[in-house]
Amino acid sequence: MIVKILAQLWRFIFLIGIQVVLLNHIQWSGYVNPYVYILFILMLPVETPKWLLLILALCTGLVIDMFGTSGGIHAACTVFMAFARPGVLKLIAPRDGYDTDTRLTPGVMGFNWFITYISIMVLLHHLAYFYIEVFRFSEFFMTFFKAIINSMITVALIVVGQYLFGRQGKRNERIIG
Amino acid sequence: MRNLFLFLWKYNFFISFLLLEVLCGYLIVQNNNFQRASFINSTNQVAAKVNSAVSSVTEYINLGITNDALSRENAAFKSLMPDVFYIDSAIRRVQSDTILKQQYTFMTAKVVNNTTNRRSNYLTLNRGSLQGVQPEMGVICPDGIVGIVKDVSDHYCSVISFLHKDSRISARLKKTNFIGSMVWDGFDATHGRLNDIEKHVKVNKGDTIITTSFSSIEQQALEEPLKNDR
Repeated sequence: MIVKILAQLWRFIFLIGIQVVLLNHIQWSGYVNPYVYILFILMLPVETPKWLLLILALCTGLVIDMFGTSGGIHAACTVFMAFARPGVLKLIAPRDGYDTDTRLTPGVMGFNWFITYISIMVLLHHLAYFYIEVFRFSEFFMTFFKAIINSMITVALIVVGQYLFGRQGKRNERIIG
Repeated sequence: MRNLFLFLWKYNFFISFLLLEVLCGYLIVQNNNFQRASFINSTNQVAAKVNSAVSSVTEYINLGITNDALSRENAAFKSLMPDVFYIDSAIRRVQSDTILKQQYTFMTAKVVNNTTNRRSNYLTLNRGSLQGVQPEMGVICPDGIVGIVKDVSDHYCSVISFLHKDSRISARLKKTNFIGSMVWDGFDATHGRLNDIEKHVKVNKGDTIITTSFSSIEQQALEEPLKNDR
């Protein structure tokens, strides 16, 4: 149990570090800013209690807000994403449901399942984020465009990162995945 | 009463979600309010330390650009030196201290954290209340205006950048003195937009835009050239 919690803590620190030190400083073409830190919420075990999900999302968002002077926007949309997570997991559940102790990695769950899951969640988070950030409808399509572009980049980064840093499942599962 | 508790228990996930979102909404509104200090900001010790560690690395990468800006500014100052001008009259202007009072004081600061790719951008500077920084002070750089100080801690302050969705800078065309309001439309950090200039005013490419003294927050009569982008 302790080991699991430590593993999650390590992932939390690692992702926040990547986000704050590296990704927040990307100044490429003016409006690209991928938010990879949400992977922490996405990778929590399936059996995490729902209330804990919301609390963890709030903490993650507030830490990111603290570093980026965005004052609560990240917290709001990360909580929103955490709220949507159980529903989305149910929606795209495999035929025989999730085993207890399932790790939500491409190696275990299969690449197609993983990319569907990540895309839905990242899109939800980014749409919420960019609309809350702008907070007006006069720039509707520009905001939409920004959200889509950034979602694609975030999903790409997450998938690449999964294969670079993530511990894969058993080798035979990986071949199937 | 029992039914109420049952109802609350049944929808506890949704209700706690709503409560947390209300909390976040409160924080966002708090942060959007220019006059009030926000709770969650990058002037706290941990965030500012990490950010300054990062910026001390990226500083080296931008050293050339910074050097260029400084030498340009130096050249501009040198062209204002008294020895540059021909003195063809015998009358010397006497400067009396009772007329020329100090209106502004300046302080250097290092940018610890800066973004340009959001809709609302902020900077963090390494000067705080112990060095005499107060909220609503103006911030300038060699190339022009930067923004307005928002939150101040002991050693750091956070600045609302001009690249912010609520920034409106009162500006005018230097040549013709027509006044408009300068905003940023959110896409390109190198292009701003000067609104409310009448149709009949002739604007040429390369015209200089400077700030006016109308804004109560900006330093008054701070004349800084901005790029013309209408």
